Amino acid sequence: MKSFEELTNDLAPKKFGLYGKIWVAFLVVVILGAMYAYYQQATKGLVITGMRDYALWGIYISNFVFFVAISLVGSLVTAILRLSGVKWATPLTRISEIIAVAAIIMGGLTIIIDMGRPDRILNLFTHGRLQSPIVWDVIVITTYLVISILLLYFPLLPDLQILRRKYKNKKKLSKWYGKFSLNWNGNTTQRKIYKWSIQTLSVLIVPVAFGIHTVTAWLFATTYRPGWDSSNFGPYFIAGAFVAGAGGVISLMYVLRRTHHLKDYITDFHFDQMGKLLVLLILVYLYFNVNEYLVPAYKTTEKEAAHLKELFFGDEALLFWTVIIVGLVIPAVLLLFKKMRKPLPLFIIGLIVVIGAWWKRFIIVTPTLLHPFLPIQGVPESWHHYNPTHLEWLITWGTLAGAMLIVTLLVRFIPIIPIHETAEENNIVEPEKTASDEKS
Amino acid sequence: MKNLNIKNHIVLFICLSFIAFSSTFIYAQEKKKKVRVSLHFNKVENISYLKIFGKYKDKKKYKPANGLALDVFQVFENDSLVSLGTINLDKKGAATIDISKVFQQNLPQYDFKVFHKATDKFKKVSKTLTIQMANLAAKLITKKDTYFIEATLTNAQNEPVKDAELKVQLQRLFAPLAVGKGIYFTDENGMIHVPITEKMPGVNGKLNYEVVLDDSDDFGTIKSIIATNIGEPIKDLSTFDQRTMWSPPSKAPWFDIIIPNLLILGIWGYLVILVINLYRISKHKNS
Amino acid sequence: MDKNKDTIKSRRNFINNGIKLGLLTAIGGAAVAKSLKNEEMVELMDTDGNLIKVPVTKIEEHSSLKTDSYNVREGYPNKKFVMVIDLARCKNAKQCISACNKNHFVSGDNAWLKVYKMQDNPESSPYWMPNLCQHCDKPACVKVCPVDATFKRRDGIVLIDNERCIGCRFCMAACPYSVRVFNWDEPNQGEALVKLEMSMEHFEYSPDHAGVPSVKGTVDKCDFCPHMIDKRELPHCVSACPNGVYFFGDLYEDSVTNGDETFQLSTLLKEKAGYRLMEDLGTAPSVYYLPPKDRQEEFEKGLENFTEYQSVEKTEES
Repeated sequence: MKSFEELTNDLAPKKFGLYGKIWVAFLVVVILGAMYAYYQQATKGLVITGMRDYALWGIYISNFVFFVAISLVGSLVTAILRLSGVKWATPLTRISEIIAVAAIIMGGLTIIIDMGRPDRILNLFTHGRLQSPIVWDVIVITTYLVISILLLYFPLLPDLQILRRKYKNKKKLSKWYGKFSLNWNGNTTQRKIYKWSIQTLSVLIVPVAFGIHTVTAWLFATTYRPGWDSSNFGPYFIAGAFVAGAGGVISLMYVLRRTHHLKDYITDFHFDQMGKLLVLLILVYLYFNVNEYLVPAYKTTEKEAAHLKELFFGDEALLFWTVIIVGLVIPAVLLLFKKMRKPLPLFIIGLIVVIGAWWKRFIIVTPTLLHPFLPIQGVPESWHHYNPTHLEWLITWGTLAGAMLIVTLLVRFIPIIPIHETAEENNIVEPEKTASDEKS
Repeated sequence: MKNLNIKNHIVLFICLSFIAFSSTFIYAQEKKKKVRVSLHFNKVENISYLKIFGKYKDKKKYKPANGLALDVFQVFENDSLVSLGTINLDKKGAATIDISKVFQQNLPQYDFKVFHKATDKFKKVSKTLTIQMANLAAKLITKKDTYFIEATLTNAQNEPVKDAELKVQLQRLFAPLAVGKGIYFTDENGMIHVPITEKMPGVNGKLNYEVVLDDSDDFGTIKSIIATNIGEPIKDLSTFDQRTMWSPPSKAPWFDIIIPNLLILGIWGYLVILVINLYRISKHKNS
Repeated sequence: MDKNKDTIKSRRNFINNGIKLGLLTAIGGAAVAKSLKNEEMVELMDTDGNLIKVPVTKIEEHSSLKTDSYNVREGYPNKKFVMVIDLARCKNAKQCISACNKNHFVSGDNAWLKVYKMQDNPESSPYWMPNLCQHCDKPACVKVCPVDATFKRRDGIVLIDNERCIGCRFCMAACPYSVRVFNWDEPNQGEALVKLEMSMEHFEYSPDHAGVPSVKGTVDKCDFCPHMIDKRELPHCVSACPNGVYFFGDLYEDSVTNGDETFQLSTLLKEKAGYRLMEDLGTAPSVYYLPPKDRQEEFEKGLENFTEYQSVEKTEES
């Protein structure tokens, strides 16, 4: 059993090593490249993308849906698992919230990047129509962002206090930790407020999380288009979100375990549990996919049939089957074996699941648009296909880099695993406070 | 002898110059365009006017004679002209001149002339039109619960005009709609008797029917308008005033305003409390 | 009987007061009779009983359909505009497309009005189908617009305010008829538009004249030509068609015309089995189609003009 001091040393945020610095530099370079590309877009217009009147939503929108999906992991791990009394997930709560906050911030930015006139964004507030699913989406995303930040912050308060005391020799650092810890000292009143707040947030975040991804799904499901006109879309998207989120947490927890030497805290047991959870979530998602694709395929309704033919056998077939089989089926099968739920294989599988999730959203967004009700006529041949341009990819990579940069920066300054909760659960008691602590 | 030769040369030179100049003059004149002018007489109720159109051929296409000025005269028996005014053709090559006052003279026949001398661009323009007076009286009558449009065409001597082609139509926004067969011929009494079989819609039930003698050689165009109230009053079927999902934000359906706002207030109420809790934690450092 | 007396009385009023009868059906305000001192003025009475003076030269010209209370988001009261397209007559002449592109300065690669090559099923004959904004009564596009940039008017017309549009393209995703186009680029609308704007004393953008000008990053579409309706003239596509395919009119007046022929709308639709596109989607379009029965000409003749990959002609300027 570790002592409190050992615990804090293990879990305190570490400075960037060489690899850390290279990583940050790489992300910054990508982001700068994306900013240049966005400058081109802001001055020349969306013509710099591969989108045209038929493929009118492309990778910006599928990227946006991906970010919203990943952000749901915050509610899954932090709230749902916590509310159901699952203790083993405690080390993973902070990672999940960090992913959630980073994803939802970049999701909001991505949707602004897709706008033709971002300079008129205030119109959403001055002339917003409550009848529009986009307005609902703006409302839920904002709400979810605030909840996620609060759910990241509240459990952080005791940890910030611990870090303030740990770094009492580094005046400036200690002062900042102190400021953000809001004078936390674990007294009865504070604990009461804290407990009520976290409980409330955990309960609140679940319907809002369901809301955020259901409303995003409704951006598609409220239209008539075959491939989107489905009453299945809300639950289908949410199930997919949990899969993507779980894959994301697995990937990040493996990386952070290595870089921060957290083998004692994020153990093989955690990987095993997450692996089992991922299998379950994938199976649920596959169930929704079967409903989504097999049912219309049975009916051969004209427009649906043409769209499905493209997905199953046509231009999109390679991508579609890769995403389903390599991105979902094979991982689910592999993870049934305990050997595959060991850290390294699980990490690889998790990464594949996340990448598959990104492309799955692309499959949902653009192919439907290339099968409108009326035939595509009277436009250049290139408009019959969608090929994102280099600038468009650069901007998209920029948003992904942005999300990873937010995660990296948060991990640099706050403990990845909640120190005080880990201490409590393992009955590691904090040593008595000394007189010098009181003064600072 | 020599003097005579020089004189002959000078005369020859002068003659040749004259021919050269006059040929350029003639050539320049050939460049002037010939304008085709058409004159139409129109009478609508008590207002009579002349409609004048002018066009010319430019590279195998007809173009309106924009800007061309024309003098309008009434011609009397002794070929004397009385000026009625001067008009300018607009960019569509058309112009209108009111000649209602002329008809107070109560002549059986009226002769009009438009004329303009040659300009740089156009040749001399001259066109005449002879119109005889006619009167088209139209009214709405009811017989056995059916409405009829009755119109009588009489000439200046109050004699009926037989076999005249009259159009009977209903005024509509873009183009009039034919009533019945649309075209009816006057009988020996110069009358037509047209049943209105269809109850047409109109703003507040108002319907304006027209009886038109269209571009007759003798009488020009005469139109008589019958303003009636016999139409079906139109109903505004639009959803503009209703609360619908496609209305502006101020007219959103009630459920769409109430439920989202309740949800937002409910959740954000909690969020405000939670933020206040952060503040409270900060304040309660000594408990 | 009473009705007859009323009509006679009203006519007597007109004549007794020595006032000449109004020629024009709905005259608004003093739009026409302004500071034309030298021209002869005629006193007219409009259908609401108001006296106005109109210069004689303008006697056949109708004043603007707009009244003082005209609001671009509400439109013309007591009207609902509809269009009827007779598929039996369409030969893919594409004059409608040229006229629309020219008069709205359409500059992209996608026209607002296109003639589609359609074939409903393998056994039936193919036919040419002009397709434009249907100005639906339950428009999917208006429902989803987050900023009220596209709106449905009282007179049935659906317009876009391209000073409000944020370019999210949700309306384009929602429209099942694929009639909306996006300005991905800075629109290159040519000199003709500059001339038009300069010719007006006080040029101000209005949603009821779409494409004047088009704005980068916003959506455009057919507007049913309110600027022509205002002059009591038919939309450009209707006038330009050499085969009389398009009919336009007011549903409340039960009358549509193609410029040469005028029909009672209800009779026309009943006799020729008029239908609407994708009726089962519940959008309630304002455009009716007459089936391609008893075709005037073979479908194949139209193939000469068919350009599968182009609907906007590029001029030297662009």
